[in-house]
Parts: sequence; C-alpha cells; structure tokens
Amino acid sequence: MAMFAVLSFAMAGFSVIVYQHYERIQKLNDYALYQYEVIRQSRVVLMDLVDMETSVRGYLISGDKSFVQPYQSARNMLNADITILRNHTFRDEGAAREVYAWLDRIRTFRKVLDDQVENKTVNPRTRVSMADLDRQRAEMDQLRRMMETSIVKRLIEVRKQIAVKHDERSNFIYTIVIGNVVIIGILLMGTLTIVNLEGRYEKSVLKHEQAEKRYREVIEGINDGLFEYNFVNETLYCSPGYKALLGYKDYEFESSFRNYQDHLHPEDRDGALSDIRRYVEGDTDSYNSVFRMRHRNGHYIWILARGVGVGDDFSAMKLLVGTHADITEQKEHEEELRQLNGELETFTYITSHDLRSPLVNLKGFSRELELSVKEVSDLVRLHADKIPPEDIKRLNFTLDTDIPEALGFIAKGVERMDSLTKGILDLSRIGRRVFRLSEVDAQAVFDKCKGALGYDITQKQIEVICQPLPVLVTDALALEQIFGNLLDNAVKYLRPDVPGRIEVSWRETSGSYVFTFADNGRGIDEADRTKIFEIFRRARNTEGVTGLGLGMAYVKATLRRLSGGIWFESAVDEGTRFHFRLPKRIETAETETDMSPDGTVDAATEGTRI
Amino acid sequence: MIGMFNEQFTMVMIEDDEGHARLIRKNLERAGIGNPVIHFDDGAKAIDYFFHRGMTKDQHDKTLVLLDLNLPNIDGYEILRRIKTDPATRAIPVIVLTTTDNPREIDRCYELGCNVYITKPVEYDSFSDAIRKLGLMLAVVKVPHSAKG
Repeated sequence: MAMFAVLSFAMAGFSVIVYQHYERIQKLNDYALYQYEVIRQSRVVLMDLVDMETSVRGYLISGDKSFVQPYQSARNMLNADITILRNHTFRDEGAAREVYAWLDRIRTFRKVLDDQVENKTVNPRTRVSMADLDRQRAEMDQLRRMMETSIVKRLIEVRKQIAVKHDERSNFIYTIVIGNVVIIGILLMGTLTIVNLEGRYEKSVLKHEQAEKRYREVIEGINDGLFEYNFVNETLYCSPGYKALLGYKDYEFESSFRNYQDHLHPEDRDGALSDIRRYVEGDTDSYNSVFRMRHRNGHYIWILARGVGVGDDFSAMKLLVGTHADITEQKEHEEELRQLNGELETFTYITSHDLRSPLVNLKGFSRELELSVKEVSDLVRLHADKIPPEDIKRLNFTLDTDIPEALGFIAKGVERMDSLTKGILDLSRIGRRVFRLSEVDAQAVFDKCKGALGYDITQKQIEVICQPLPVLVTDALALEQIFGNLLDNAVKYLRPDVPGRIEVSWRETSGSYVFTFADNGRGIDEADRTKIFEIFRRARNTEGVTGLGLGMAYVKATLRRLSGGIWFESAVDEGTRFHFRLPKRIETAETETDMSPDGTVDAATEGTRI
Repeated sequence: MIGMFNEQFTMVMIEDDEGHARLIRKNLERAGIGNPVIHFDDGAKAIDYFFHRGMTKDQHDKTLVLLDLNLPNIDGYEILRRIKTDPATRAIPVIVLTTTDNPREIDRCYELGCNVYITKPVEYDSFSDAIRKLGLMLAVVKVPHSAKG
C-alpha cells in the first residue's frame, strides 16, 4: 500500500516538474517569437522610410511626377506599419518607449519630405540644393542607424534566449529521463512488493485453511455444536453438531432463534436470554451461559454455551458466534458432589451434636459420681469407727484411688473426644467461611502471634528472627491463624537439647507472596510427609507434645480457600522449613465467596453466647 | 433476687435426653434455683401443654422455658416459633439449651425470637456457671413482669 502511495506522489510530482519545464520553454518560445515579430516590423517600417526617401530624392532631382506615386503609397504603408508595430510593442514598456522616440523622428523626417514634395509641385522650376539633399540623407541615415541598433540589440537578446532555451531543453530531457528511471524503479519495486505480498497471502491462506481444518476437526472431534446468531436479521445458524446434541438430524431441526428459545428449559429461558442480552449490551466481557435444552426424546440436557461477538470495526456487534457443549455429565457430577457435600454437612452436624450429646452425659455424670463419691467418703469417715479396719482400708483405697483414677480417665477421654469433634467442626466450617480481603500488615499479625507465645519463647530462650514483613491484601483472621499455627508448631516441636531458633522470611514473586518459617527443631521424617497435613494425624516424633493433629490440616484448608498453597522441606533432627504462598490480590469491598452466610454470624454471635 | 425468682416461676424443661434433663435439674438445684420444673421429653407434649390446656396469660407469665432443639415429634424450632408467634405466650422467656454451637442454628434461633442461646458445655464447671448466670439474668429480665403480676 505504501508503495502505491509513494508511486502516486512521485508521478504527481514528476508531472508538475514536467509541466513547469514545458511552461518555461513555451514562455521562451513566445518571447523569441515576439522579438522576431518586432524586428520584422521594425524592418518593414525602415523599408517604408527608405522607399519614401528614395522616391522623394528621385522626384526632386528629375522632376518626374511618377516618383510621387510610390512616395504616397510608401507614406500610407508607413502609417499602417507603425500602427502594427505599436500594437506589437504596447505591452513591452521599453520597446514602446523606443518606438515612441522613433515616431518623433519619423514625423520630423516625413515633414521634411512632405515639404520638399510640396515645394517641387508648386514651383517645378525650383532647383534642389545639394545641401538639402545631404541633410535629407543624413536624417535618413540617422534614423536607419537608430533602428538598426535596436534591431541588433533585439537579435542579441533573442540569441541569448535561444541559448537559455537550449539549456532548458536539455534540462527538460534530463528531467524526463531521470523521472522515467525513477518511475520505472518504483514500478519495479512495487511489482516486487506485490509479488512478495501475493506469496505471503498465499501462505497465510494456506495457514488459514489448515487452521480452519484443524478447528473443524476439533469441533467435530469434541462433539460441540456451533451456532451463529445474527442480531441484524434475527437468524440463527446451527451446525449439524449443535442439532446432534439435541438428538436431531440436520434436516429435523429448524435453524431459527425461535426454535432455540422453544427448546430452552422453561426455568432457564429467562436466564439464558438475559445472558445473551447482557453480553451484547456490553455488561459482561464474555458470553458464557449454562442452561438446559430439551432433547428430542423429551429429557433435558445441560448446555454450556460460549461465544464471541463479531461486528464491524466501527459498529456494534452483529453476530454472536460460539459453541454449545453438552455438560450434562459434569452437571450430574456436580449434583452428586452437592449431595455429598450436603451429607458431609449432615455428618459434621451429627458429630457436633449427636456425638457431643452423650459426652455431656459422660462428663456430667462422672462429675456427679465424683460428688457422690466425695459424699460417700465423708460418710465413711464419719462412721469409720463402726466399720472393721480392713474394710475401711479397702473402702478408702476404692474411694480415694480407684474411683478417682477411673473418673480421671473418663474425663480425659471425654475432653479429647470433645476437642476432636470441635476440630472436625472447625475444619468443615473453613469451606463455608467468608473471607474478607483487606490490607493487612503482616508484621503486626506476626507480632501478635509471637506475643501469644511470649511465655514459651522467653522460657525456652528461643531466638525468633523475623525479616520485616510486608503489607498485603488478604484475610486478616486467616493470616493470623496461619502464622499462629506455624509459629506454634515451630515452638512446640523444638528439640529440648538444642537452643531454639526460628527464622521467618518472605519474598515476592510476580503473582504472590511466599513466606518461610524455618526452625532448627525435630524435623519431619520423610515417611510422615503426607501425614503432616492430614486431619488427626501427627508425625511419629511428636512424643511429649500434646496435639490433635488439626493445626496443619486447618492451615492447608485455609490456604486452599485463599488460592494459596503450603509445602515444606525437612530433615529429622535438623529442622523444618515451611513455605506458604498467598496470591497477590486487589482489595475489594466484596467478600471472597458467595457461600452461605454462616461464617459471618460466627463472629457476630460469639459475644452473645454464654 | 434469686429468691424472688424462686418464688414466682415455673420452669418448663423440654429435653428428650434423660441424662441431660437430670444434669440440668441437679445443676439448677446446686446453683440455688429451686423453682418447680415441669419436664417434657417430647415436643408434641410441650405444645399440648402450652396451647391446649387453656392456660391464661397470667399463668404463662410465670413460666420460663428451657428448650432443646433436637426433639422427637415436634422439634425445638417449631416450639420456639409457636411460642414466639402466639400473643399469649410471646412474653415467655425461652432459653435454647443445646449441644450444637452451629452458627447457623444459633442464628436461626435468634431469628425466631429466643431470648438466650446456651451451648450445653461438656466442661462441667462452665455448665454450672452458665446455669448460674442464666438464673441471675432471668431474674433481671423478669422484673417488670413480676411487678405486674
């Protein structure tokens, strides 16, 4: 394209140059012609004057009247010729002035001639003096010289012009030659470009065809249906695959928007149509819609429709082109999953309620029992004198040692069971928890967690080194729980014989923050690697430290919900480095999930519970 | 205060777990709350007591309900809803006493108008403590009514 523009400009420029040259040469031609004309006319005038003079001379000398006739005709001619000369020169100021000067002299000269002719006619006898004739001749010569000089000047001028014209002409030729060479060059380049473009075009066509073929194969291969909905004339094209999804042969399903609407599930119709509308009106960036359509056999299948709008560069969308995919199977799985989730929720409810219910009794009545035993021992002590001593001994042993021991174990068991059921419940709630994203100062959160463990840290003289932590957008409570658990574990599982050292660092990657908690503690055996994040499971070398095996499961679940991750490297008796990743986010007023609002009441009702 | 409370109120305990009922009674007694306790182990019987015996508003005013949520026949939510929608029984304070601390349930109970929600603690001492606090609070809550009656 650029080539053609350059070519057009070159052609236009060249034309202008050629035209200017032509104009200049034409002007030179006109000028030369004018000069020649002036010279010629000047000569004609001079000839008239010469004719007049010779006729008068002849008449004066011979007295022959026949000389008067040519004198008269030359005189008449002179008038006409001078008029012509003036007409020629009136535009040329210099020439006009020159002619005007001549005219004065010509008039005088003519007067002299006229007088002499008149004298001779009145007095034929009068003799002409030689002196008069000489004067006449001198006058004539002067006039002739004057005019000849002018003519010679003009001739010189014309010669000069001719020389210039010659140069111009050769310039003109050069211009034409160069111009032609340039144009031919440009044309040649243009041709080459066109040939090149053509080659590329062919290649791209080939590529395009291959791509289209591939695309067709893919579409046919995955059994998706294609549609093209034209808003301008409200037509709908449906591919055979589209119809096949619904159980129709190509000719059985009418390709129309009305027919599409008729096949939509009544409950999904409004949603599906509004999805299209919202995309067309620009409310959504992509057309992505899920709805049910009636199969030929009467049942409904789930369709995932995706598409893009096609329009002119400068106008609104004209077409919506896209695919229909049968996602019935996914939807069934989803439904199954939902049911499973529901069952899981029921399960957690049962664990929290039904399992805790007997615990209330166990714990409550063991306490009652304890009180009863106390009462019995009091009574026994009161009536000790009425009971044989060996029985007292047995009674005391039972009442003071056996029963309290049994009750102690029962209480411990109940407590543990209570913690476990609570743990399950907490873990299950992460899934429904609503996260609030806000700017969180990680340093402040860490300091808080460190503060909570302050007693242990000072007591065990643990060195905690923390690189200054960033401010990031995340859920503050979640971050506190993650930091808290990691720090708590690091403190709990230090080796008793080595001074504890915990190091916290972080780094920033393109999409996330990675925090590292490194300790020089017991380390985790390779065999326990998977256990670490499993609920109720603990590594083998955790003896002497109480724990339920919930913390890391909780951290992992929380990070999963926040689209982060956790991993570690470790060696037994050397230490462990836990790394966790939190994605970078933008602060939003909205909450992270659209789950049920359970999580939100959690905090709100906390204070009201007794 | 507790003395006042003792004299004027009948406690209606709706609790299907025999053990829990027993523990609640024992702990109330230990906390010094010696009010008469009427015990129902079934939701339907409780509904029958409140709505089908032609009790007057005055009689209802001298009642306090301890309600479990998981009950046979008619569950605790329904009882709570009935009590709190009927003008005759609306003023009765209802204490929901259940094993679950499921936030969804707590929320639902408050929505239905329960006065207090208490999770039955496994920890014995905190349970007694809760009951004691409850007794105190009930006394405070019921002062305007007791003045009238």
